[in-house]
Amino acid sequence: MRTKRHRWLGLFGIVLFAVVFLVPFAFILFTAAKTQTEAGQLQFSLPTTWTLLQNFGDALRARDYMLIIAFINSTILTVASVAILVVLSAMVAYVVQRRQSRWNGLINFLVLSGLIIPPAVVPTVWVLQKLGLFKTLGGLILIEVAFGLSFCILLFRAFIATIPRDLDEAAIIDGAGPARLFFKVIFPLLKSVIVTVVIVQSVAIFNDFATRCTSSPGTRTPPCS
Amino acid sequence: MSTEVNVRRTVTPAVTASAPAPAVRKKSPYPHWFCLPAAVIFFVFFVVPTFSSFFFSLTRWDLTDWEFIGLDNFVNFFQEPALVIGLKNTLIYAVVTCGLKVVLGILLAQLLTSRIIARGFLRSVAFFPVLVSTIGVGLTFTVLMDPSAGLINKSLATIGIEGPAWLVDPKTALLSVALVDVWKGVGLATVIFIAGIVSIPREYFEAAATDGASAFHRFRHIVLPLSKPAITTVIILSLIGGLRSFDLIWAMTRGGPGFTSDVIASVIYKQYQAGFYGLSTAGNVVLFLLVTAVVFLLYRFFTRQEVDL
Repeated sequence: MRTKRHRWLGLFGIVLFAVVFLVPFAFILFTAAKTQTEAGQLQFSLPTTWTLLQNFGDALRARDYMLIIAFINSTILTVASVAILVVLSAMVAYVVQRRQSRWNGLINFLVLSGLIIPPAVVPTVWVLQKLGLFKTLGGLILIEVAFGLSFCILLFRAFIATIPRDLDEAAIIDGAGPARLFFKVIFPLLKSVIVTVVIVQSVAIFNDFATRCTSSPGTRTPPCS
Repeated sequence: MSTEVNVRRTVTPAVTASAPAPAVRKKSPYPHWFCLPAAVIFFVFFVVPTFSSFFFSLTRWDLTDWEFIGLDNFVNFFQEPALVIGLKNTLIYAVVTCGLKVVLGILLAQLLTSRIIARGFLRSVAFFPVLVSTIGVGLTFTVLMDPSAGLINKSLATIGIEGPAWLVDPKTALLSVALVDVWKGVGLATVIFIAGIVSIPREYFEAAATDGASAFHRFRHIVLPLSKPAITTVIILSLIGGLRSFDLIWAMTRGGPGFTSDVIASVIYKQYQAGFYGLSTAGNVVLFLLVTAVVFLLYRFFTRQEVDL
């Protein structure tokens, strides 16, 4: 009786989820495979002729292979900023977690405010212009890093707390300096949380639309979205 | 030998910077300069713009020259009816998305932690929209929500309901965007709730089952109170997200029809595009104050409640 009810509930769940979550994606796929006129009718139906590959080809060729350039730019942006983010925020989290000092209060405050405060649009543009980084990929990377730091530091700090201090002490006795200790001993141990950070931040940065709208409205670094 | 010299050299600035700290007595293996690169980037690209926004919101400004005009920008901001609508819409949008995400998220989490078939598959399906590009979602739903040819209204018509005009109707535009936001974001809330529900000890449910509690009672008296930390997290996260949200609204309506679905973030961007930098920055300051006030109040509210428990 009980299992039967659960089976019906499960079936109902599957149908509901399929309608609510999968139909929009099916719609994207079908529309992408339709010819221009058929797609214009906005109907949810199987395409009469599948022109998926041809459409992709057209999309890539549009505007002098703009999409490919955009894709490369997006990839560089994402890889560079996520790499910088992971190293820098792990370093901060490590020091903040391991060392009791009066700076910790300030750092915690800054981390929280970085999470909460909405970034100021125009002053950021102004800073970029003063530094000569406006409408460049480098400026965009630095902006993404600055916006992502807070979240990553929080994650890393929670994880570093679980790494025993005995490891640090052993490494220090063996004569490792601070940089060696961190990069050779601690950083490799962070692998699992690094994976989390990389996935979350890559998705966020690759899809980030608002920052690009404001920080590089030109066409020199067209984003993929 | 060489490492020792190295240690001393790198630690010196930290020691002078925090002289009374107890860490001074020996060379700390956790040097403060580790924070330096991150601090520089954060300072230049976040702290400086945030603080200068307070100043520039009081000026008439074209990025090179500025002229001090006092509170005129704020006066303008609150006199322009379109901008006040933006303020009101931001609050409506944040509250609607936040509320729906919490309610639907906890119901979905309850469903996805019970013993149903294809549980893992359903969990990943519910989380999938979180990963997709917001702009893509916005464009797709703009098509699906088309009043006459769109899929949603056509399916409603087949079961005899005349669907609303969604994005075209000034009355429903903002709520339609909010619904899409919920569709996209509910997966994240669900994951947080699942983590909360899974960590509730099994014994409580067993004890409740022996006492003859129904499924609803277990939900109401065990799941709800014990996942309060998760609820707090979801409320704060989604409220902040809702107050700041820009890209979905921009992709779907651009604030239209008219100004009926403008939120502060889109107003800021429109003013920026139009070249009213001072006014745009004033909008930023308003948003900043709004978000900070909301977070502060919520935080106070939730911490006090926890103490009472």
